[in-house]
Amino acid sequence: MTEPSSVPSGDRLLARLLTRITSRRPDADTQLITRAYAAAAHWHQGQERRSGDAYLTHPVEVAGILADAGEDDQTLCAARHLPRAKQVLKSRQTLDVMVPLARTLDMDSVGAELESLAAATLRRGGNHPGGAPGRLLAATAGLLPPEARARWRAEWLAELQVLPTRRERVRFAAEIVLGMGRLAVTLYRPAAAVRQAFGAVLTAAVAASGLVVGGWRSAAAVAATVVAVLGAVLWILRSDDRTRRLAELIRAVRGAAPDGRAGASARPRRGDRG
Amino acid sequence: MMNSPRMTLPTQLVLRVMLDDPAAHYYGLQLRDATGLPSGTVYPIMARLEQVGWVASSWEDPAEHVAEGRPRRRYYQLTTEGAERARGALARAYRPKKQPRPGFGVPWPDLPGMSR
Repeated sequence: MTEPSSVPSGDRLLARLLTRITSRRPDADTQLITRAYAAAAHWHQGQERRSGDAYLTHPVEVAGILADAGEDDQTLCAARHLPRAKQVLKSRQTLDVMVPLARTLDMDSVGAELESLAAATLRRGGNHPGGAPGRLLAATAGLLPPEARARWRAEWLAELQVLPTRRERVRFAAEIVLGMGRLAVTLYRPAAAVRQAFGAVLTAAVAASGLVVGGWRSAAAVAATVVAVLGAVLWILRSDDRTRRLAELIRAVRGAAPDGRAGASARPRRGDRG
Repeated sequence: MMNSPRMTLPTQLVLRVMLDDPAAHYYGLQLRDATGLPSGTVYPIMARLEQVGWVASSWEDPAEHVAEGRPRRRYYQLTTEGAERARGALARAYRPKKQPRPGFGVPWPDLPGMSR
C-alpha cells in the first residue's frame, strides 16, 4: 500500500483527528483509526473538493463528528440525563408547530394515507407478494397522487417479481424509493407538486416526532417515508433549476397561507375542508 | 398540448434507446438495463414522457404474459408524434450551448487585432 504522500498536510489532519477522538475517548483504538485513515488517503488520492481542499478532509471531518456523536451517545446512555419529560416536551413543541403547518399545506390526505398504509403494511406482516422490497414500494407509493398509486404499485411489483436474486430486488426497490419524490413531483402538477414535496418533509417530521411520543409502532414505514422524502429534497437541491424550484416553493407556501393569493389559483381548493 | 420534457442526459439516453426501434414496446426493467440508469430515474422519465404525450403506456395483453408464465408488464411505446419530436430534440441537444451573439443590443467584443 502506498503512503498517502499526495495529501498535503495529511499528517496534520490525522493528528488532529486523533486528538479529537482521544480527547473524548482516551481508550480509542488509535491504530485502527490510523489504518482507516491511510486506506482513505490511498483511495481518495488526488481528489479534491469543490473548495480546493483535499477530498480526504471530508471523511475525516465526518469521522470527527461521529466521534463526537458517539461520545455524546455514551454519555446519554450512561447518565440518562435527558429526562423523558423533556423529550416529550420537545416532540410536543414540534407537533404544535408542524401539524398546523402541514395542515396549511394541505398535507392531511397524504399524511392519513401514509399512516393507514403503514398500519396495513405492518398488519400484513411478511405476506406481501414482493416481500420486504414490495412492501417498501407499496408504502412509499403513498407519496404519489392517489389516482396513480395502483398503477405504479402493480408495475413495480411485476418487475420486482422477475428479478432473480434478493439483492437485485432490494436494489431495484431502493432505487425507486429514492426516485419516488421525483416521480411524485412529476405526477402532481407543478405548483402543487412543490407544495407536496415540501409538505411531505413536514409529514415525515410529524411522523418522526409522533414516533417519539407514540412509540415505535410504525417505525419501518416512517423510515421508508423519510428516505423517499430525502430523495425528493435531494432532487430539488441537485437540480440546476434550483432557483426556480425555490421560487415555486415560496409561492406555493404563500399561496397556501390564508392571505396569500399567488399559488391559490394553481390548484383547485378542496371545498370539503372545514 | 404537446410540451417538451427537459432534455436531461438521462432523458436523452432513454429516448435514444427507444428510437432504436421506434415501434417497439419497452418495459421499465428493460429500459433500465438498456440505459444503465437506476430504476428510480427511469420511471419518473417515463411518467414525464407520457405526460407530454411522447410516449403511451399500456398493460400487456393477458394472453401473452400468462402464456410466458410471468407477471404482467407495463409497456411503453413512442407515439408517432413523440418519435418525431424526440428525434428533433435529440438533434438540438447535440448543438453547442447558445451564447449571446453579437448584434441586437449585444456589443461586439473588443478582440485584439480586430478592426471595426
